[in-house]
Amino acid sequence: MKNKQAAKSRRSLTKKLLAFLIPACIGLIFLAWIVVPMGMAVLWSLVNPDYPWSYPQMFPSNLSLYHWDHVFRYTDILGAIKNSLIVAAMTTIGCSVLALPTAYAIGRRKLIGGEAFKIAMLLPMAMPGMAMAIFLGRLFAQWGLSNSYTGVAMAHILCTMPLMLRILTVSFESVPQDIVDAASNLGASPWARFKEVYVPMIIPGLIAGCIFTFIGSMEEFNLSFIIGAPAIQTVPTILYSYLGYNFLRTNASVVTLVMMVPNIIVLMVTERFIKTEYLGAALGKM
Amino acid sequence: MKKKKRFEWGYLLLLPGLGYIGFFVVMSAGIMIAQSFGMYNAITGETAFTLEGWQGVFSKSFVDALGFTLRTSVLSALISIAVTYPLALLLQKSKARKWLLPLIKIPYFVPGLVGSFLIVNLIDYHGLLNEVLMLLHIISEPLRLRNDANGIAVIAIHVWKNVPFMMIIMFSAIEGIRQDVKDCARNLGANSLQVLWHITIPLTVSSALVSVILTFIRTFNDYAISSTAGPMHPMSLANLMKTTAYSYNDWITAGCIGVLMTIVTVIFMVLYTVLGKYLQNGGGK
Repeated sequence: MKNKQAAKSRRSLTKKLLAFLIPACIGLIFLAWIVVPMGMAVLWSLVNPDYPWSYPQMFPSNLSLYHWDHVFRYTDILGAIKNSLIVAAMTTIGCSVLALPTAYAIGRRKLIGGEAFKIAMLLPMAMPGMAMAIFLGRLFAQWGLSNSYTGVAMAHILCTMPLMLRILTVSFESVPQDIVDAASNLGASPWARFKEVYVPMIIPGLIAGCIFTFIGSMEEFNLSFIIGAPAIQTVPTILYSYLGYNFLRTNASVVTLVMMVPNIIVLMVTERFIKTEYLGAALGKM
Repeated sequence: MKKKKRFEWGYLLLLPGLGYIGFFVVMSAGIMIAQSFGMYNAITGETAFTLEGWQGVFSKSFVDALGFTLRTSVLSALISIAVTYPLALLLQKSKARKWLLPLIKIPYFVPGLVGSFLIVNLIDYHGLLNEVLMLLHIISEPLRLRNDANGIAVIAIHVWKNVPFMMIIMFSAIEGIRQDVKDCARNLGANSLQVLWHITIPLTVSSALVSVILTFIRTFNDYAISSTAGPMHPMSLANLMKTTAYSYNDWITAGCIGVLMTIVTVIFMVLYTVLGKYLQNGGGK
């Protein structure tokens, strides 16, 4: 009896220990993953140029907002954020308008070759981003679409389309046929069926698709770099110039931190709407 | 008659989405292939069929770039899944997941270049990692981890960026296992390790493979990260292609490199598609 109790208390002790250790481990990994890199960037951005932060010091000896002031005064990072937002909005609208009818056709109509169409959706993913950018860039240059919002947005629509189509197709497929049939039995016109049955049921998928498209456009580099730059600087291309040919750690820190803001705001605002299942369902399965 | 009309409508609806994709992908792939045979020249505009590009494409810099790109992308994909799998399993059991999950998604949402800078800061010559290792007397001299020929910085950045992406896929796969299947196993006397080994892992291993393939494709075709944190030589393939086209004005060779990269990507996309099909048919159950 005593033995049993001892074993029981031992077990509950291990359980308690585990209950403490697992979150602690995850917390540590998380700290190393996000907090430490970002903290370093914050520190670097605050270094006072008169008191350089160099090797033996673990922390900068003097902090100032000099670099923040400098970067905002002499570079157009707010313009880059504006460009990114404009392109992302154009991409999201264009992509959903183009994807909706196609996703409906593949998800609801029993088309011959439906499976093949689902695979064809992935075509843009089968071409390396840089190869697509370089050779699509030549086409766009010929058509006078380079260095314009329209050109960059058109290119972004191309590379965000697969995910949007996949998510919307899954949404359309999961509308139960009974409800559609019930609506037609009750005399609903095609338009009423669309408005009252399909729209409410695909809205969550559409929102998720729009969020992934928006984010995808915000962080797309290759196409923006070849087709948009130098006239249309977006967040990733201006970052690239700060990390490449004019690398200054302090200024790059400021730019990096500022550039994270729009995406993190989008993440925070939309977190409730993004069911991770959508990405899992759209990419993990066929 | 009515049936036929409906049939045609359905195909017309494919045009905005698939037509758009098809047109631009076929156009850019077409230009790329034509270019690799010397046709439709970007600089002079002349069209002359030549095999020059294909004869000279396997130069030393190409072979080095291929080796570098394959090594970094394979390692990134494998390390990422090695980190993600246990973390996803742990996180799924933990109560803290409600607020940890959105935070761990941050790297997926920020531009890859942000990650590039953040990680480079950590592993630079006098970065935090080197300082800590020196402080602990593990190394006597800072390690060169950035712009190094082994591409350690590139791998670190890809892992940082791709673990959250894999996490989203793996987490939804683990969550997707029905609780009654696990309860059933527990009723039959399996302990939690046995449940993990006989149920959770077999049911999620194909998702893991899918996410490894997708990560491999992303890193294999990466330009931005390896050109900022990677070595000058060897370059990544995408970087080599872009430099060949824009700096050396050698569009023929650039076309050849593009075609070869596309072939590798297509092979892995086919693998991904086949696996995805298997997943959908309830493979592994």
